[in-house]
Amino acid sequence: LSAAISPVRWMDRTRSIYCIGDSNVISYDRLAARDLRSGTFYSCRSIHLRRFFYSEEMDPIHAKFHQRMWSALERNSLADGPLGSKTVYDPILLIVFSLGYWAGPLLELHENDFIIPEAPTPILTSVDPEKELIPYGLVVERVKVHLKPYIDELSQLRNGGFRDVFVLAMHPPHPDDDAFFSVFPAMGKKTAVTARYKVLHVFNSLLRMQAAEIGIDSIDPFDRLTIDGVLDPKFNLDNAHLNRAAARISIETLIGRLR
Amino acid sequence: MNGTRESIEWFSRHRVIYCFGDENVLAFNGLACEDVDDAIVYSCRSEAIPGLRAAAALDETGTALSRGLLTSLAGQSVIQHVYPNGAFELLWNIAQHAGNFAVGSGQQILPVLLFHLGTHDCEDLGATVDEARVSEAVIPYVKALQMLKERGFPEVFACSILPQDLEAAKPFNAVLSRLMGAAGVGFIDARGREAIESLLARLQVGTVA
Repeated sequence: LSAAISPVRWMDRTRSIYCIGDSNVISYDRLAARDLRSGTFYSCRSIHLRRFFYSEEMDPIHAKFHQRMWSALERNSLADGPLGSKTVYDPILLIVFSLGYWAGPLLELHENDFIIPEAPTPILTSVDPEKELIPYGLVVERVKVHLKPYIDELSQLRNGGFRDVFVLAMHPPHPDDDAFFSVFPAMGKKTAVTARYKVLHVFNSLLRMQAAEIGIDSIDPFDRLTIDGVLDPKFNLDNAHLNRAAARISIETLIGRLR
Repeated sequence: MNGTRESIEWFSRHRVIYCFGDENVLAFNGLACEDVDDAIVYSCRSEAIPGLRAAAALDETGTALSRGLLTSLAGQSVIQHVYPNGAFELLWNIAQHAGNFAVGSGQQILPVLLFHLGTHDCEDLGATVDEARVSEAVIPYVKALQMLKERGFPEVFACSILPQDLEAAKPFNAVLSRLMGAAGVGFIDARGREAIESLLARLQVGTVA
């Protein structure tokens, strides 16, 4: 055993960033940073809820938190319950659940394509001449349907008294078809990379807008993770998730937004 | 103003001290300190089961961790894939996630586990401490921590129970300390920051490989 005791310097101002969501949250766990402006120490805690979809699990009739999310908040002393007033002071929540909500409207495109008005990057302007075009507004409506339960629950978090709630935009997927299909076989060869990025663009735009309407800030580091609108390979972890370098960019953005 | 690389200092070496047990572990939640010489930052995160007794650390067979403890450990991603028989996987052994349990240099980093249990058992036993009754009460807790060590967590510690309002706490802690020591589990007899400093001084060399 080590008998040597090194000098220890205690952090007087600490805040925890609870990253709650699908497997993308794992890259955030244990990230630790100090904001040099305020001296505050931030540490990230990932709460991974496997195979979790708001649309399947929430209780839309009573508009309540569904049980798994509620249990996770309780276990971490973030919500009222058996722990009563012993809640963590001023937690920061980063909600990360985009994949399932992006995949739904993407698959619903089937063999069709659409045009994004004023598309900002080359991949978003491309149109497959072999496919039938459907109205842009229809894609928007389908994304809204999938987003509704997500926004409803975000709204409940906000109304529940959490001051600093952020939602993470869906990250750019791997642009290589084989790499993408190897980790998302259920999506098989049903989607094209251009369709994936185009639906993603619509999805993130609506997520950002609808979250803002309920007072929730979104973290979307898309521009810093991409080259010409496509995933920069240096942020790829395993063809499905992004690495810790990408997670650090999100957290840098989040810390910068804190008041 | 957006956070920039210039305004944020990242710590590439960060070890988490995961604190489990009854509600008293919440006192550790959010504590963070920096080991100046080794340039490692430590932070504590707690998950409590209020009112938990030591006997509830093991399941009814006495041969596996209890469902409650497994749920807490899995909830903090310390363990993964809990099976019906109480077996589980370690996160860093799962290829998909192994990279995320490494520090910036790619070295593996293991969690430190700190437990606090026994306060409610001591209350149940009353003012007069009978060593045999204390042993009977806490042995499942001792076995549970021993199992965690054997399962791959080298840094497992138990904290003494709080003395406030419990006349029997001192002799209770003495028995707990002896049994944990015999099981090879580190025993921390301190509070708050002092407890964490005591723990840090006892971490094994080489745990951060």
